[in-house]
Amino acid sequence: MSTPRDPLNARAWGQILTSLLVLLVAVVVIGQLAATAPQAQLPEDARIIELPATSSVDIVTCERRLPEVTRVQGELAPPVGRVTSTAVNDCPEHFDGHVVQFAGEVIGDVLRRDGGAWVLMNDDRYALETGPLPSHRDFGGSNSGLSVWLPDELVELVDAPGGPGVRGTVLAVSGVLHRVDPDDGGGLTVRAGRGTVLAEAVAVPNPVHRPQAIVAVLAALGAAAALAAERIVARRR
Amino acid sequence: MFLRPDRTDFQVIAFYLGKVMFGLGLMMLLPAIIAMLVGEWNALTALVIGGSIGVIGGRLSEIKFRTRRPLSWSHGMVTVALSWLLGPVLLAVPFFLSGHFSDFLDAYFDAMSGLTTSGLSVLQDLDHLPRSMNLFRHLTHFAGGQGIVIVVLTLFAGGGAQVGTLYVGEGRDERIMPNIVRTARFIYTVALVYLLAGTFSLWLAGVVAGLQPGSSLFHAVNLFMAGFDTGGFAPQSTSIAYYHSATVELVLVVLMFAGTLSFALHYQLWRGDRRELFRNIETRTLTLTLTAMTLLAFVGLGRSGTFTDAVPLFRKGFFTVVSAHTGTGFGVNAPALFVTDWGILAPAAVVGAMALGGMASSTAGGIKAIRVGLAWKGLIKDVRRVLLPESALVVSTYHSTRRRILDDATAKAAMTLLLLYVLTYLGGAMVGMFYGTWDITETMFESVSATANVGLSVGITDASMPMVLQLTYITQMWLGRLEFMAVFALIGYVVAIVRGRT
Repeated sequence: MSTPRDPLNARAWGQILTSLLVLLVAVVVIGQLAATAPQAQLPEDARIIELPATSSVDIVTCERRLPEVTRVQGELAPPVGRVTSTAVNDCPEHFDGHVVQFAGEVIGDVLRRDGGAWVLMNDDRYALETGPLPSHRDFGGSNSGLSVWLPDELVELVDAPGGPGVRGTVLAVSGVLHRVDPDDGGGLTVRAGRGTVLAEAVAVPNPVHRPQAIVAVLAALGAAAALAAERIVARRR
Repeated sequence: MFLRPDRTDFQVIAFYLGKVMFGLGLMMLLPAIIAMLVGEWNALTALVIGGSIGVIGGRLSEIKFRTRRPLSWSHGMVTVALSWLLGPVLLAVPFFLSGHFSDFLDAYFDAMSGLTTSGLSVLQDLDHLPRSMNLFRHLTHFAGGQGIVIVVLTLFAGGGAQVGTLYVGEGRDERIMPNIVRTARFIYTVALVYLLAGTFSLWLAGVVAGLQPGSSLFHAVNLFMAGFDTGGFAPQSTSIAYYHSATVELVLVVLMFAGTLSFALHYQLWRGDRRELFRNIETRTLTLTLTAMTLLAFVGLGRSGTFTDAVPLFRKGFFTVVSAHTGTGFGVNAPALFVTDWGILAPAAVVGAMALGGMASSTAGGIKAIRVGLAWKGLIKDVRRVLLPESALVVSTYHSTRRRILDDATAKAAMTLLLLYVLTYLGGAMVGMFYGTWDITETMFESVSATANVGLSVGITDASMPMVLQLTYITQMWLGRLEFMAVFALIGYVVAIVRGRT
C-alpha cells in the first residue's frame, strides 16, 4: 500500500523561496561588512627606503625539454641587480650558481640550525609595497618568496619575522643561488653571504571592525535564542 | 518516470541538512576560542558570525522540519550532495570576513577545497593570516575528511541504521561494523590515535627543525589535520618546503599513507590481521601503481637533469608522488617549477598518481585503487573468456577483507566510475585550455588535481584565475569528493521536481 502523497503547495514554495532570499540577504550583508572593514597604512617609519633596482634580465620562462637542454623563451643575460622570486622560479637554471641580490620580508619562523638559520623571505606586494592583509583591501595575489640560509651574523639582523599582525624585518641579501641545494635535500635556496636591513619589523595596525563586532553580538544572541527555542519546542513535544 | 518529490520529501532533506549546518556552526567554536585567547578580535567576530548562522539555521530546521519519517536512498543522496554544496557557503563566511579574499566566490572556493580535502587555494597573503583563521582552514580538512554528514549525524541524530544511506552517499561504501554508529566511532578512534601520535611526532620534528615549541605545536596540529585527512593546506605559503626538514617530510609520508588506507583495512590491522595488508587488492594495486609512478618520476627527473642525486630524488620526487597518489597535495617546491624545472615525464607521473588516487572509504580522492584493481581484473577476465573454449567457466576472485568473486556487475561498475573520472579530468582540462593561456599539460595537471581532491598546482589556481575556470574546479572538487552518485541523485531530484509524476 502506497502512502498518500502531499504535493508542494504555494505555501511550501513560498518557504523555499523565502529561505533562498534570506540566504541572499545574508551574503549581501556579509559582503557589505567585508567592504567596510577598517583600513590602515603602515607607519611612516616602516616604509622601505632603498629597495635595490631589479635585474634587467628579461626572462619569460624556461622549460626542460631534452636531457641537459633548457628551452628558454626571452632574453638570457647574467643576473645583474636584484632578482625576484618570480623570475627565479620562471627560470631557475639561469640563476643556478650565480651570486644574486635578493630582498624580502623575513616571514614565519627563524629555523635556527648549527651556524645559522633557514628563513623564508617574501618579495611579494604585501612584503615590499602595501603591507600585510587584512589591514587594507589592496589585494596582490598569493605570497611569493625564496628560502634563504642566513649565517649567524646575518640572523642577528632579523628583529622579528613577519606573521599575523606583523610586517617582519625586510632584508637585502646577496649570496649564491642553488637550483638544487645538496644541503637542503635539493631545495631551491639562496645562501646569503652579506645582508643589510632595509626596514625594521613593525606591528601592523588592525583596529577592531566595529560593525562586524555588532553583527557578531546580534548573531550570537540569535543563536542563543534559536537554541533556547528549540529546547522549549522539544520539551512541549 | 520519476515521482515528483512531495512536501514531506523536502521536510526530511531540510531536517537533516539543518543538522549538518548546526554541526559545522559548532565546529567554528574551537578556532573562535583560539582567536579569543590570542586576541585576534576581527577573526573572532568573523567566526562567531559564521558559527551563529550555522546554529540558527540548524535549530530553526529542527523546529520547523522535525520528522520521524525514515531516510530513503534518494533522501540520503540528495542530503549529502546539498550538504557538500551548502556547507562551504557557511564555511566561506568567516573566510570572506577575514579580509584575505577579494570576493565571496574566492572564499567559497577555499571552503569547498578545504571540506573536500583538496587543498587548492586562492587565499591571498597566507603568511600574514591570523592563527585562528589558519587553524580554521585546517579544521575544514578534518571535518571533510572524517565525513561531515556522518560525523554530525552520529553525534546529533540518534538512529544508526537510517543514516547508512548518507554514509554511502559520502563516498564510503565499506561498512566496517554492522552498525553505522559503531563504524563511525571506530573511525573517530583511529583518527584520535593518529592525532595524538602524529601531532607529537610532528611537534618533535618541528622543534628539531628549529621551530619554537609553541610554534611547533601550532604547525604540528595543522599539518596533522592536512596530512592524515589527505587535505593539502599548509600553515605557510611554501607548504612543506618551509621546514627544510627530512624528518618532518618522513612523518608526513607516514601520515599520508595512513590517511589513504581504507578504514576497513585500518580495522583489520587494528585487530592484528597484518596478512590483510599483503592480500588486499587495494594495497597490492596501490603498491604497484605507486612504484610505477615513482620510477617514472625518477626517470623523468633524472633524464631532464632536474635531480641527479638520490637524496633530492627521494625528498622532492618521491615525496611529491606520495603526496599526489594519496590525494594530499603537500608541496616541496614552488608550483611554477613543475613547468619550468621538472621536464615533461615527471609531471606526467605526478598527474598519473593524482588521477589514480588512494583507497576507497578513505579520505583520499581519485579513481581509487579498488576500481583500478577491479577494472584490471575484469579486463583480464574478458581476455581469458575470449581465449578459452566457449564452454569454459571463467572465474576471477579478489581479496578485500575476505575472498570475493568478481562478477560482471562489479567490474562494470568499476569501469563506469573510472570512465566518469577520466571524462571529468578531460572536461576540466578543456575548459582551462579555452582561455589560451595554458597548454594541455598544465590544464590537465590542474584539472586532475581538482577532481581527485589533491591540491598540487602548477600555478593556474590563484586569486586572478578566470571565474568560469574557478567554478569548474569547484564543481570538479564537489563531484570528485562525492564520487558522482550523490550528485546524479540531486540532478535526478531536480528533474523530478520539474517533470516527475505526481
